[in-house]
Amino acid sequence: MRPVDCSLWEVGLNLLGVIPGGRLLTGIGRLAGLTRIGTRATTALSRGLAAGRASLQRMTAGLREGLGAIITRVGGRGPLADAGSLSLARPSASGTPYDFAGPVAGGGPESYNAVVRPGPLADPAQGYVGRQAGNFRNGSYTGEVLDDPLVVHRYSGGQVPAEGSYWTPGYPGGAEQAQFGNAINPGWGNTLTDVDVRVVPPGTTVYHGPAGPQTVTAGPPRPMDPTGAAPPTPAGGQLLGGDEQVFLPELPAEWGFRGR
Amino acid sequence: MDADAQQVVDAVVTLTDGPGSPLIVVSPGGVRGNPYDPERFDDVAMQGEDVVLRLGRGHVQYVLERARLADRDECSVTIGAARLTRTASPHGGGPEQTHRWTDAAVLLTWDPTLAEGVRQTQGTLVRQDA
Repeated sequence: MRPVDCSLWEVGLNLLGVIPGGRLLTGIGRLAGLTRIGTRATTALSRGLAAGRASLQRMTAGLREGLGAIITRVGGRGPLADAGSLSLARPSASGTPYDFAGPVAGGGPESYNAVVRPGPLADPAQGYVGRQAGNFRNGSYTGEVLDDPLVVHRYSGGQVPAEGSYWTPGYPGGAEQAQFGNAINPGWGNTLTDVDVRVVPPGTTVYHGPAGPQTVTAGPPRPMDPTGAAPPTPAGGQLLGGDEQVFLPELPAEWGFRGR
Repeated sequence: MDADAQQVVDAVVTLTDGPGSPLIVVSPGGVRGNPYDPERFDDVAMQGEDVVLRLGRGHVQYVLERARLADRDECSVTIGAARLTRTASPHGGGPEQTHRWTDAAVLLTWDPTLAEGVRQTQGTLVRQDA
């Protein structure tokens, strides 16, 4: 039996830090010799490894390509604090273009993530919409063209209008739940005093996923600062988010809002 | 002077996708609201020699006196103004708030990353009614 090169497994596991510098598997032939697995069993295992090899290659390539963006993001701007740094403007190192394609009607939900499939919310060509992936935890979100109506709600008030792109599925669970679950930064000036409940009609393109964390700021820069240069200051860690949120690139016309 | 103001108006119109499109305004007072889900653009127009920018169905208004186009690219427009007045009425009701700066600049963009990076533009606060 031809030995199977397992170096891709090692590369993948090393990247994930599972066996740093280690050599867990060196070939299916050696594994068979050690365990005295029968020929049919090793053949089946070999086929399984071969089948997984292609996906692992894609994963490894994606990890390599995405790692630079992640390191820049964590080192440059603080962990998961911004959306746009996930936008990958450069071409794929593997020569394969990044997949920015959105969901299609009747195609069911499509999953996207920051590493191997950035999707339309990280598409540099999409302007405002293409800067939103980082608002989802780990840049992971799902896109779909709705087959059924979806009830959503949104808290607003103060500096935040009802007319906006971010909504929460279901009926309101209270302002505090919204503040913590959807990581609504107090610095944004949302008084959470008003709540709108709407129905997103079938046929609407939505993107949903867990809300990403937000660094809590004290509010807008201090206007009376004589230097006029004081930026918003961190005021106590992060709101973790994690509750499901819905991003609507285009607001339904029947809602009476304008455009996006 | 009118030519400068008209240049500003043209640049803002080019930047936006028309009424209802998201537009982030970074002023000396910082970014108002959530930069990832900003107020929607209403319109921009000249009133005399001033440039008036309105957002959020009239909830927020910027008046730029002696406005001039300082910089522009595909995702942002930077405007300088001898005096900048921002008037905002809270959503859901409440007293109107007015801030006025001199020697000010504002940056308009649809890119929340850029807005978060800039955070605040130059300007000297001379009046605050809140």
